[in-house]
Amino acid sequence: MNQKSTMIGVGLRPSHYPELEVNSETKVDWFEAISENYMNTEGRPLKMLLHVRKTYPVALHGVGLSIGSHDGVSEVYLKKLKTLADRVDPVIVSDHFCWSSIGGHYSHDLLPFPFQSEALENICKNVEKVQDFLGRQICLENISYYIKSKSDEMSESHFINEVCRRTGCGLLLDLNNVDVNAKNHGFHAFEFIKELDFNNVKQIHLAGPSQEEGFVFDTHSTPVPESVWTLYRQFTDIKKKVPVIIEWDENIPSFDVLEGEVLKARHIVTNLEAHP
Amino acid sequence: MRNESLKNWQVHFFSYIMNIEQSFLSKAISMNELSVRSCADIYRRGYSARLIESLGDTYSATWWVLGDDDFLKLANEFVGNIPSRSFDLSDYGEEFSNFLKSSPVIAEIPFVSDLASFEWNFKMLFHSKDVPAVENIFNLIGSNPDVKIRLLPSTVLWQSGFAIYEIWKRRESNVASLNEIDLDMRESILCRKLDGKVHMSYLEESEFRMLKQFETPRSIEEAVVNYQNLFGELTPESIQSLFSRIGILGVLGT
Repeated sequence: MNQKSTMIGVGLRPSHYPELEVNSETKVDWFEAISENYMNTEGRPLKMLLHVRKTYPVALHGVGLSIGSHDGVSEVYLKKLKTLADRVDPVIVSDHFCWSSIGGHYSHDLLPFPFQSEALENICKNVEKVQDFLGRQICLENISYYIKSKSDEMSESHFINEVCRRTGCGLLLDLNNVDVNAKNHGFHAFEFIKELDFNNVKQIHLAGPSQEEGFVFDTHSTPVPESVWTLYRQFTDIKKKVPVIIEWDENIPSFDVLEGEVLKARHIVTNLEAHP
Repeated sequence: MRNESLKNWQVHFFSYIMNIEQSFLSKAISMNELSVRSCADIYRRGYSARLIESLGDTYSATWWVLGDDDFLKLANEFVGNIPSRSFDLSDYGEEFSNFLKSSPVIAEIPFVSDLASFEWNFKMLFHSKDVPAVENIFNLIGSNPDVKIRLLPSTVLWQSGFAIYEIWKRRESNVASLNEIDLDMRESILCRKLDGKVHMSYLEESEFRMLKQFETPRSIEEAVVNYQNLFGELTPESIQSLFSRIGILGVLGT
């Protein structure tokens, strides 16, 4: 994706369909759609996605590929994803560094795996299969996790860098997830980010978590917090023009609130470009 | 601990989430000051909450009729027994109608299982592909009476001994509005997806029975013979009248 200025967009959510149906002029540069919401339907959701696609670039962001599963990736899923991608012509296709299904059962959650060599080999094999099938690069997002394996053999950053290096997949860097993990597991967020190979970062996610009793929960239910904006400033100071999506999935506000978040991101980008 | 296999991690993690067994707790490290169990329970609660939310989305009228306490109790029990077997969360819960049939609630609200079944059918139709109406199918096939006719895939024939559609239509009103209708009124309904919307039309019993013949592709003659074997003799006049009525519905194709 080549662009003159940083693309800043939001997640496409059904509660905003009525507004987007009548108003194609927004303050948003692009949208990101949850792939699974459009893979099994010929109904209004798909019509809306194709309607939005006429005006805006769209990314397809999955939550169900289960690319880290020991069972491998479902061919049924892949065929449906390819059909959708062929219809939508997305600028980015992404999913997560996670697994969600085993033994034919689905958790519908982004579950962490151990950062160990077997998991690394497994996910690389699966990424290659997906990229070959889709005929394009995919991006994977770092997840927030609330539990770790006792059998970790390497750091998360090393794991991510290795998957990208071995398979050529991109990194969708979720700064909120880094912030959540740093707070929950007690490490320095930007030190973690600096360990990542910035050449792999093809997209950024920003979102707001909620504070639960004893931990921070990645709910995408609040405005982007200052700690995440700080990470975004620090990242953008080093690498510019990485497309950004602002996610909001619970307690979803009106579209103009999301546009306000987009303007905040744009303000940061504009300032950094004016005073590099 | 070293060399914990990836498969073991995933099987035990999932078993914990599904409340089957707890050995996963010995393989994991917690965050902050929380216990491993507290951290693992975040995933267990999330699994249950997501599936119940999906059931709530699909079965909103069933929820409305049952009320919060009963619906959530039954949904929780269902989730504990029936795992999700599709990557698409909205595929979850097809068995909920049968589950309700075998639950004690059916004694108090005998139509609740049919209502859930109706809602599942509605959802499937909502997401199905739009198929344009076929005009005058019987005129089109006049030259070839052996041609097989079938019900369009964007169509569901619904029948119940209860007034399910009337109940479902009131799902955003006060539940007391159910007192205004005859709940035991038998209904036969044609549900169809057309122009992006799901439409419902009441059918006469004979129309329903004849349309039902075309759920399997059949020639007109085969359908009439089958109908007569099941429901009794039809006169030529009643056959003509019946086919002219179902023909104009536009839901039969070749």
